[in-house]
Amino acid sequence: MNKLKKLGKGLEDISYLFLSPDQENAAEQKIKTVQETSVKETIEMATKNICLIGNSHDSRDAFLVINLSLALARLGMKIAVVDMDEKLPCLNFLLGKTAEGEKLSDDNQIVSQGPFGVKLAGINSDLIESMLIDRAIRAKIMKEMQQMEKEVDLVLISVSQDSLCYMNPLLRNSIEEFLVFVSPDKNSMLDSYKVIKTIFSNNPIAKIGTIITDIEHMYAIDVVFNKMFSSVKKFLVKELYKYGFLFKLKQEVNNNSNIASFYDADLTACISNIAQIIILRLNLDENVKSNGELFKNILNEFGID
Amino acid sequence: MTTIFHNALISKEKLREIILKNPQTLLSGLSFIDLQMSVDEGGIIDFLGVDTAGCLVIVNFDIISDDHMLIDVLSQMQWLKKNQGLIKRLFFSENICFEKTPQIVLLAPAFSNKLEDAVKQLTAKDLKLLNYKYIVSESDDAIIFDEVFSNLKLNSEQALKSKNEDKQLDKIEYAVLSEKDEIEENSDSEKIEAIEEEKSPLYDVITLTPEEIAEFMDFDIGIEQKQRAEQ
Repeated sequence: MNKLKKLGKGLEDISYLFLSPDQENAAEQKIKTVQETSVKETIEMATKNICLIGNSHDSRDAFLVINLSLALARLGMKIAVVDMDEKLPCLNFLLGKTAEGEKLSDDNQIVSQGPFGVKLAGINSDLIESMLIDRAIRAKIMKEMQQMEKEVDLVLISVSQDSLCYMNPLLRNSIEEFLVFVSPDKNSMLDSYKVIKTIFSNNPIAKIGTIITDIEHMYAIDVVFNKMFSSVKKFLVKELYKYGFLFKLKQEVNNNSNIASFYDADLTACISNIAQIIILRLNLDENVKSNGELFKNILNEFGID
Repeated sequence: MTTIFHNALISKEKLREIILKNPQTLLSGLSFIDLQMSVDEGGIIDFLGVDTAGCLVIVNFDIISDDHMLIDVLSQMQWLKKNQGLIKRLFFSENICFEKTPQIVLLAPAFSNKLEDAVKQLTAKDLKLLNYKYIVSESDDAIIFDEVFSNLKLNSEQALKSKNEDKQLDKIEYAVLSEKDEIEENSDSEKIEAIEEEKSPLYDVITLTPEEIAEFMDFDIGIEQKQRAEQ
């Protein structure tokens, strides 16, 4: 968290690339707020969180989630990644394979340790069903998740578009902000629009940001964002936030890809910039402590008390 | 009088005919919309169907045990996802819901342990394995479908329906070629399954209006860029 204070000028320099004009002033205000909170008393509230909704169920989205979490961790944040994707193998596998010398926790544990102190958890509908049936499982998982929440600054929840149908209660009130991947392909844009519509249908006051993916030319960033922004405004009368973009991956990434062996300078810069925007947007404050209620609230939406 | 049946081999054509005439014995509410559908490298979808909620169902069968069935059908599933536009145009009158993942039904005389272990690792709620046994007597013949594995989720409509009426199909389903009635059984395990399904989160299907679809179908990044440059 201490590193957050050092971002200042650098962030201001690049923030115009990612924020809509009318959001820039708000962003400046938030930087000031972060800097001015040192005198405030410690308050307890739900852990800051973002739900990332990928546009495909291949391993690419998981790869981006992992890199984003690592980028945030490198900025000094304590991060937890919760994989709620039905189809992807648990992110633990991806990170577990790549972390040299680090071993995953026992199978019995929901939360395990990844590189750079990133905590990992996997929750799918089977587990939720087990929690509905078995009180002991429910209590154990709740305890682990609450403990995890209290130890981190930000929880990244990963869901694919396909899994949204099983994870609909997730879209209701507990999530602070949603990040939707939008690629320039018109069919993918339509899928992303459907996701945005689904979120707003479940939660009319949701805050939704976009990450424009598969960018080959810089001009496409604004064209794609403006198209999505105008369509959402036209049909749903809502607004979207711009979180940044990702260049098209120069190489195929599969489940066996080792993060350490994969380096794409452009992509790394993009992810790093998105990580900085996330810190700005969420107004992360070191005087705020987690009350460990985030997953309790989320699981309540699934009917688990 | 007891009729004696013996195991027998069945031809692929005859099995295809039986399945075609009895889709409901494989999956409740299933109706076929196409058969023998060629899918690039994924081979051939034996039957493409929809259930009552508009969810696509791939039904593949074989008269020998072949592990490649699983790879083929997963590849076909991906093909369907990639070619949604084409499927929508081909079957526009069928009210297909593309928000839901296609379901899979595989039918074979037996499945290897390797395949059964493999499907257990799939977390998708969309797969059902059925064994069949073809039996004949002097005057009659019959086929027995036996569920080996299923992780199919009830869709919302089916779940609502299950609250109001008993399921007609049990784990073992019989499609007898003669005029014998279907045997209906209800088991405790089924009731537990229904309770669990009721508890599981069901989702509201969000549909897009034709105007919303048209908004994106007309999108061409090159043209948009030119228009912006002209402005």
